[in-house]
Amino acid sequence: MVWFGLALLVLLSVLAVSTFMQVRDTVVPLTKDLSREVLIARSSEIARLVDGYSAEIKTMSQRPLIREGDFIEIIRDITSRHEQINSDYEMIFYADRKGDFITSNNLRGNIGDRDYFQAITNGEEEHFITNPMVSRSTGELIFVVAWCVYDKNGEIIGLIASTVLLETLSEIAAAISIGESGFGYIVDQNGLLIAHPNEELRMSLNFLESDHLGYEGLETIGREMVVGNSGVYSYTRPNGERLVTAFNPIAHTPGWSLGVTVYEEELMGPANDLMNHLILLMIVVIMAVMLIVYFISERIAGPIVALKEGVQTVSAGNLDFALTVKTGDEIEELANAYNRMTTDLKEHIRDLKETTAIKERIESELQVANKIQSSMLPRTFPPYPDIANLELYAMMEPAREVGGDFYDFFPMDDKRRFCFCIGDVSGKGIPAALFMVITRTILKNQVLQGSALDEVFYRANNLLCSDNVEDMFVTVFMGIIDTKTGELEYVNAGHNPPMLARNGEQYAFLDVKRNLVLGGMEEFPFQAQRILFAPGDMLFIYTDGLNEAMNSRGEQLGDERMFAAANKTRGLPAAAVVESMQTAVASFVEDTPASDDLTMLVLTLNR
Amino acid sequence: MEVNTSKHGEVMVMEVVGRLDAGTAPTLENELLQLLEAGNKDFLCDLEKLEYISSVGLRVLLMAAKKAKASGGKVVLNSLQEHVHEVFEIAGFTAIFPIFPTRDEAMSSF
Repeated sequence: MVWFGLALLVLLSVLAVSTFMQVRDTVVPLTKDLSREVLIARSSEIARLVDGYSAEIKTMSQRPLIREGDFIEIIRDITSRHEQINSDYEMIFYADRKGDFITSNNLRGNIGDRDYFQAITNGEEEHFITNPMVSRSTGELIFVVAWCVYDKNGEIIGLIASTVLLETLSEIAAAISIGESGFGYIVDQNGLLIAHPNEELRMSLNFLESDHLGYEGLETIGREMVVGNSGVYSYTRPNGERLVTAFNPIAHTPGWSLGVTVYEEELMGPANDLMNHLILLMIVVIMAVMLIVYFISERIAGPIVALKEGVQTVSAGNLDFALTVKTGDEIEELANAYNRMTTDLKEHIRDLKETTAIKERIESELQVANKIQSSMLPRTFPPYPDIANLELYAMMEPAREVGGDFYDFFPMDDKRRFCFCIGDVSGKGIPAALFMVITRTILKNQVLQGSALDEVFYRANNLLCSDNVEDMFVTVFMGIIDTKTGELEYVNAGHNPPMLARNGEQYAFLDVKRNLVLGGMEEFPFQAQRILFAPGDMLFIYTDGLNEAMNSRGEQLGDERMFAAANKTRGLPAAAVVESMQTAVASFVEDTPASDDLTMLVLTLNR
Repeated sequence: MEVNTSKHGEVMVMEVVGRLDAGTAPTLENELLQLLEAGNKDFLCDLEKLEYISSVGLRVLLMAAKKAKASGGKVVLNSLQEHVHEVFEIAGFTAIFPIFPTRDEAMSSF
């Protein structure tokens, strides 16, 4: 806004100044030219006037009566003509060779000492126009126009002349008007001001000696004038007024110049007036433009500023702040969109708070569930001091808070046989955990009822299939070992085959019959198997969280690495075997979070 | 995972490509449920391009098999890769699903 105003100001100023220069350069010379025109016209007018005086006197000088040289006749003649002579003349007079003169108004005297008289009577000049002087007969300021008078033989007998009132010249000069205060003046060949509107200066101011009076530049003008040049010059009056004068020599005079003076201020007047108008116009235009710009920018920027402040308020956390912009254009749409966004944001934050609260509640509940689940799995090792030769260790590590894996072990009623199992519910999380609890309970109940294992699985499967709306299933390996005889009866219901290491030998898969998972389909038969388990033999049961443990490259641990890791644990007690396998898995997956629950159970019979 | 479904006569042929695990199984489950709801009862799952199946994947197939059976149809499989077949075998699913070496043979079982 401010920059726009300044730029506009500068541009308009440049425009105004250049226009002013143009006008000054055009108007001033025009005015000067005009002054010169007037000047030349007036100076020729004066020249003609003076010429006219001269011609009139010449005519008189040639009249026979005058040439007769009879003083008495001449007196009578010119006095009788006095009333009819040119009003510019003070009088006409005749002077004889001695200088004695008689005027038309009957005055007498002698002019024998006058320069013009001597010049004419000596034969140097035929006629003469004098500089202004004080009249001998009247005391008026006059100049003389004189012609030589010859007799019939061509001898000089005297002169006839007229005295012209200097006032006449001043009147002509004063009649010149240039502008409002311009005036004309006449300077003689000596630089003396002989005609001027101001009587005080007339016959008193000499241009050639004007500097000491306080004029500046007038002496230069005077010098140009007395040598008969024309020109236009500036000068300054003692009071500081600046003037411009144009001058031109007047023909048929003894070397007079007519001048016209104009106040510089007046000369520059039109240009200055125009400049003032321009400045005024410029100010008006600038103010108008600024006002328009202000209103437009207020109209455009106002809503944007409101928008900005609103956005800042909202972004500072005040989501209840609604923008109110009523411009009916895109800005209003933007503001409305922003309001909608704020509302949505508020809703989202509320939802998020709720969700977070729910999530936190679920998480805390899941932690409780995790504790419950862990506490449900037996964790006392060695499990039964009564069965001294049984060594067993197990662990379950859910991938999430709660898992679908489980293990279990318990002695049979005879305190000789010992049941153990491991299971993996399809799926993870709460549903899997619930299904796992049911499975574990059903299995334990069925086993403790004393049925054979195939029967246990058959019943358990049917129980799990009924009301299994989620179509979940569970893979289970269960064994019952006779700790006295080493007889091991087991069923593998869709579970990964366990690893068995015969007394210090390498691990190998336990031979398992392929039975269906539990919960898969009702009325399905299960096959139990039997082997003899010798002291020192090591049974390693696990869920697929072990062999399918995945690293960041998407590789699974696999059977090969699992066997290799297991073989390294030979000779270690059961707990150490589990720990070692856990370490092996951890070093394989590195930082990759487990995708599946991991359960391991190791069982051996000591001697 | 990708499932390419096409109907050949009364048989819905579903070619399952990629991995069928906890992440992808719901997609297949939804598709199967929709088809079952639409009245389809015979399904042929071409597992030639199935690279991996987890227990969750098995569950989906089991669910389909049970529902198909309930409405008088069946789910047959064909062209299982060896390690996939092993999973079926371990879980005992080979006893539930008729499994054929080729699609043509599977088709001719209907």
